[in-house]
Amino acid sequence: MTEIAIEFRSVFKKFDDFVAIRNLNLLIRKQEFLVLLGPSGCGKSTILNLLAGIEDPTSGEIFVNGKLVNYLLPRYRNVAMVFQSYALYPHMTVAKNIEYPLKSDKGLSRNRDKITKMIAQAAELVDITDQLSKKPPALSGGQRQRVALARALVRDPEVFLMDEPLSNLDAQLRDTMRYHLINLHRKIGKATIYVTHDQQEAMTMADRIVVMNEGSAQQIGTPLEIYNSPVNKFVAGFVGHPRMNFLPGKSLGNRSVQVGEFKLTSSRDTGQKGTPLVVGLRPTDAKSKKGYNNVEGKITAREFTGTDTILTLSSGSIEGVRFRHIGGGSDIEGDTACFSYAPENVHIFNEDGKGRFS
Amino acid sequence: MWKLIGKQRNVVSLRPTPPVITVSYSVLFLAAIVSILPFLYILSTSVKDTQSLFSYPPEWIPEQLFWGNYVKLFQETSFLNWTFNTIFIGLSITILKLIIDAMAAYSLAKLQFIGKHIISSTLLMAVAIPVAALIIPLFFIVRDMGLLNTYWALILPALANPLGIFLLRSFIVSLPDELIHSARLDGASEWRVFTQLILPLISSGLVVHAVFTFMLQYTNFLWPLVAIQTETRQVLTVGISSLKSNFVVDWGLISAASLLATIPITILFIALQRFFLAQSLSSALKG
Repeated sequence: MTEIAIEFRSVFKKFDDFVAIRNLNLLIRKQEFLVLLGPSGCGKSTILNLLAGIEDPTSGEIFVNGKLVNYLLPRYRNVAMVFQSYALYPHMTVAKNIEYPLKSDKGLSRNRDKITKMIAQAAELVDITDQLSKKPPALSGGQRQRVALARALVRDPEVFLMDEPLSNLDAQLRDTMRYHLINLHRKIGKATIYVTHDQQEAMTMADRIVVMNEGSAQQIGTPLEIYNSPVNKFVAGFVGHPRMNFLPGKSLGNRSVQVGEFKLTSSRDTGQKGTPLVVGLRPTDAKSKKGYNNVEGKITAREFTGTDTILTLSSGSIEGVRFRHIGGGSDIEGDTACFSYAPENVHIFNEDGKGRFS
Repeated sequence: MWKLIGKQRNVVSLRPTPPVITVSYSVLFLAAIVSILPFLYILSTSVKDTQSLFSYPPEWIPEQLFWGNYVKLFQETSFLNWTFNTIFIGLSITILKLIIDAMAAYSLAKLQFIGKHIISSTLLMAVAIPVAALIIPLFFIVRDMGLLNTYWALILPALANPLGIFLLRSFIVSLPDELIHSARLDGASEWRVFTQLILPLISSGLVVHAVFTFMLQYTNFLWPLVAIQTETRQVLTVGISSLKSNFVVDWGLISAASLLATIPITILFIALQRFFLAQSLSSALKG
């Protein structure tokens, strides 16, 4: 049986009338890298704050290593957190910043040699050994990030919490740090909860993703499950770039749907004949030739991204549907284009978007 | 008057022309003269005997320097006592106020507790009450506590002034919450957060508060006049004013005392001006 590092049991968090977290039930395994993904204000950072003890839950229970931590002060929870702004102590050198968490350990604070060794080890893990005597204002964004990581690593906590730690870095550095973080996680093997609104970050880093919206966990699953089988319109729209097309349709029964003038067949159930539905088509799943499920229309816009071209099509009752065409392509606006979809790529959701037909 | 530098239209750098510089320096020079003139006049008066004080035409530098005023000040008055009292009371109030105000400011700025807003509003109301309106009730309170004529009569009421709390609070509010959360997660107790994180980060605010408090106490006149009746327990301001008797005013003696009284505060200001000016500049440049 896999050991559980963290458990949220029916956790609610309210700020006056605003419900920030709605009935959160979540198990996080030891050594797992869990990503909380969602738009701003969806409650993902609140989950970290609840776990860290910065906020108290309105109701529900939180366990770390099987121990109820609701009433424990942050310093007794054995969790380390890397903040979006890094929260380095600006008046202390990098070495003092890394040392800070060790000071609360009375037994350790007398053993200077051990402390120096621990600082050196943590600094080496994140490659900032040559910056130890500098103060944070003299460091670049990437270096500050590493110092924040070293400070979290140094006291060997049970759980790592990371609140959008890469969002202040430029795109190139973010890629490097992402790779670095994954390697680091593999090395130390501790449960990590990582908050981001960047779906690419979530997909590339996570063992499992929790997609959040309006305080509720919409779907919990591996990146592949989230991408291939989104449980509702929100998850389907939030994960994947370009965004999934949503088209109103009607069930024809027998796993078929009518969307405008097109008849599409899905591998998913479409309910009884006549049921109004929402059909989801990812632009990236489209094949640029006629095949099984065809959607045809006039090109109204064309965006060349380098590796491929995103074409926007309109046809009769359907407008503004986007498809990916691999490569540059010679189509111009006004031309007719046709795309086809494999049945497993035709997603079917309830009319209100809150669920899917499985 | 102002010359636009650079040929590009989007360059807005303005450099003053020589006439503007001349006028600016002239105005500054004039202001400096106006500021320093009273000091020079006091210096001059303090080294004159009574006769040359009223000589006509007045002379700035007397032919013979007269040190009798200074001798008299140290031998016949309690000037050294007054200086000690003023510095001792000023330092005590400054140190106690820094400790109390910083702790109060931290709790009002960053901690959550019941009644926080009521306490905040009450303190703010207290700032609005003029000191003169408090003198009589304060006198009765201090008298009833049996503290009249003691150092405590001067120290305790000054500690209740909440202005410093608001000054320091504004410094602490500007510190990001994440710093404090991070320290708490790193195992720091509230006391460690306060002493190792908050205090060093608001050091410039503490210096400003310390200088203001000390200067305010150093120049305080009204309350010591009311609360202290024993001459040897008096502070400089009241002491110097007592040198003026009903019928004769010894301007030479008063000038010597006034001049010496400015020395400690000048030293303090020169020693701390690095922090003081840096802080005024940084707050000026922020916006």
